[in-house]
Amino acid sequence: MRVIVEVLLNNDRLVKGMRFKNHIYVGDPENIIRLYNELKIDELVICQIGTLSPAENKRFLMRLSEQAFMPVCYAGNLKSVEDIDEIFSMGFDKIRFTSALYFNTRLIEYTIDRYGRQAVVLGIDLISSLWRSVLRARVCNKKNIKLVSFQELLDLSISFNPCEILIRSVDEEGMMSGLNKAVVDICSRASQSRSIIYSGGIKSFSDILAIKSLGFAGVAIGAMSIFHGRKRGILVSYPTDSQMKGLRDGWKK
Amino acid sequence: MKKNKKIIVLNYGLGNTPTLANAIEFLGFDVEIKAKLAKEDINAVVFLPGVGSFDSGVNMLKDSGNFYFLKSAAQQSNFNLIGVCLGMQLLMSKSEEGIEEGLGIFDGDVIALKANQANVGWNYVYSNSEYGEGTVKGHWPRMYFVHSYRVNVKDSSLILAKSSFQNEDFPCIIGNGQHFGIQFHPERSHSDGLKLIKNLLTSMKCELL
Repeated sequence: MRVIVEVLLNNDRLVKGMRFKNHIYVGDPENIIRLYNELKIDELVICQIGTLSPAENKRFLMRLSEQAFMPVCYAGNLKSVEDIDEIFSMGFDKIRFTSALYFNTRLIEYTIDRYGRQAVVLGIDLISSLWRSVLRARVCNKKNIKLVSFQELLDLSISFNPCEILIRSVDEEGMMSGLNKAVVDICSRASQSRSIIYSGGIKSFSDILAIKSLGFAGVAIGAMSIFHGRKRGILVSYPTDSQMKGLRDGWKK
Repeated sequence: MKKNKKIIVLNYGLGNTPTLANAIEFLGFDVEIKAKLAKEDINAVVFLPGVGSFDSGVNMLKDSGNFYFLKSAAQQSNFNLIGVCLGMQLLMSKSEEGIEEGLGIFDGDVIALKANQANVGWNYVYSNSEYGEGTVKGHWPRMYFVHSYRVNVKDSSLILAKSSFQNEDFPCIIGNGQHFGIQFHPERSHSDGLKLIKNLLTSMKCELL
């Protein structure tokens, strides 16, 4: 199982918050990527939450992609096929679409057609609380945030047959609150048929082991790799080599 | 004074050019990104990256004016070619993914993985080849793979390392001492991948800056 690190970019600043709010600056992106190189992380996701398009931020994003000696996925603020081409021309290996699943499936079709399914990750932001017994997912564009049926979005994701699907618990984002059992169960059921990455609330290596035991293809960590302790002091970290070795047992060796 | 061998990453429109070039530069070699090879590159080491389908790779090489240059330069003893990912597959004669003819530098073809799904992720690489000493032999490095097709070389002595996906073994490094094909992405495979690039370049008499 892979342990994927996700970092948030607010234009050219690396930030982290809680539930996508109250972001604080956590350090120079290039330096942090160099640290992740030394820690030999499995994969990096760079998620843009600012307003700059890939073309407007080209030089900076290209430097980040070049510095990373691990596979890198880009997510966020992708509006056109030109944005997609721009990202791949910078050397990014994959793109993750979340809101495009609801607002702009043409972008997903284009990427699969031109760059292949292995370059596409689909993301679903799951709201953990039920509404009239229905699970919902959050999608947003510039104008509004909508809550839609989680199951419909999951079925739609599966129909694209992407490389993998990431399910993120929005309520746990950045919280380091541990696993939300109800959400993990939902994701685990989905992972019976697809390659699913779990994201949200991971605070320790034992959470990662719990995710592995449920058969997920991967787990995404954010705050756990940036913050340390209850006071959330900034300390870039990753599971140790010996811990990771345990996760890699049973690989296709 | 002996001139250092030139290293070029070919940017023909399909591939992870900047990352590969940065990895080579990070190792301490001088590297140039070029869109079109010319006569003066006949003694160079050329990296041929690639992401996408076989036919689009062949057509982009033709459109960029590099296809026939590579075919002919590969016959020269001072020219070295290293194909990475799709670039490795383009070194073969043909592919069941398309109808175009490849560069034909190695005799063999490209076939779909039996699992009929993409091999995406980290995997171990193993080698019995003497060539792999210090890089892959006996070390079982882990490398990052993204591919749905694999090469099938007629001469098995060209296989320098193998990996496996869903119980199917496939060649992941092939080479004849002059030209090489690498199925995984060494530039995205941390120190193991970087070490492989360094050893290849050193074996081709490229010198550090």
